[in-house]
Amino acid sequence: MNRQRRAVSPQVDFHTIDGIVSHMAIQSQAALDLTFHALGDGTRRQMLAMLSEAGSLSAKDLHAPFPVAQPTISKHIKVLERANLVIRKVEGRIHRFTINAEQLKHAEQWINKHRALWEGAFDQLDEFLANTDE
Amino acid sequence: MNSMNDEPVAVIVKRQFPRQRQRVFDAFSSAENIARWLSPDKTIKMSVLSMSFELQGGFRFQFDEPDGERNVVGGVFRLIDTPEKIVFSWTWEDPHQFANIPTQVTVEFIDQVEQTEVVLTHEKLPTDAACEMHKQGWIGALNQLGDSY
Repeated sequence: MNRQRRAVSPQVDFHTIDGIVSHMAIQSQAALDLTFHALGDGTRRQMLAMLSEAGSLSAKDLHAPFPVAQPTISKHIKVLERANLVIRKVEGRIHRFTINAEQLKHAEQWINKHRALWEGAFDQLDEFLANTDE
Repeated sequence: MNSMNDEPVAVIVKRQFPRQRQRVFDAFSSAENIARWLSPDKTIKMSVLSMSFELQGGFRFQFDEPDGERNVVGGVFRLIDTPEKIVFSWTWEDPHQFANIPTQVTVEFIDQVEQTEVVLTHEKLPTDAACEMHKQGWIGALNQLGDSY
């Protein structure tokens, strides 16, 4: 063993270690990471809502409601693509985007599962507090 | 247009309990108490494998479902402010569907007239400036989005 090797600090950030494990171990979990990052932005969520309503939109359509420069919109689209939330189709010079419902469902499952856990736990907590009255 | 551009995706659950704040807080602070209520429903038995309720103390909870499925979650208490607030990390272990994804849970205990409101925020990424209404609205929108497929 290399004795020069730095010891793991007790102050180590668990988020970082967990993050690394997540990315190295299982691909779908890394994908969820990207999905949550992508969803953590109001502009991108609005773009998804637009796509959900319209079915398919061009980059120009996606840009229309936002008072920002095209490169900013392109960046947002790339984040959504990387997260596998939107799919790009090139038709000649037009790039059209559609939503990937499957990936969105994965994030939705995370939310629903944890909401059910805590809602159910609070029901039981209510009962526990009532039954342990002095 | 979007004043709140960077809030992480989160689950927020609020509930009022007709008990004093310290009593509600105590339900979270010992292995004996927390095992009595922390599971999605009564058919899922939760066992505390370990729990050290102190700053940087760890915990592992095991959930046994009626069909034999077993899941374990682990975490570390990152903040304990008796009786107002608890923050802990929450990471499922393999083979849970969402294993190895680091998340964080913040539980706030708010003193009200003859009751305590508990606000629990479970998020993928830590946040300190959350806009609750906006998030709640988004979760609703997300559900509707899912429903349309």
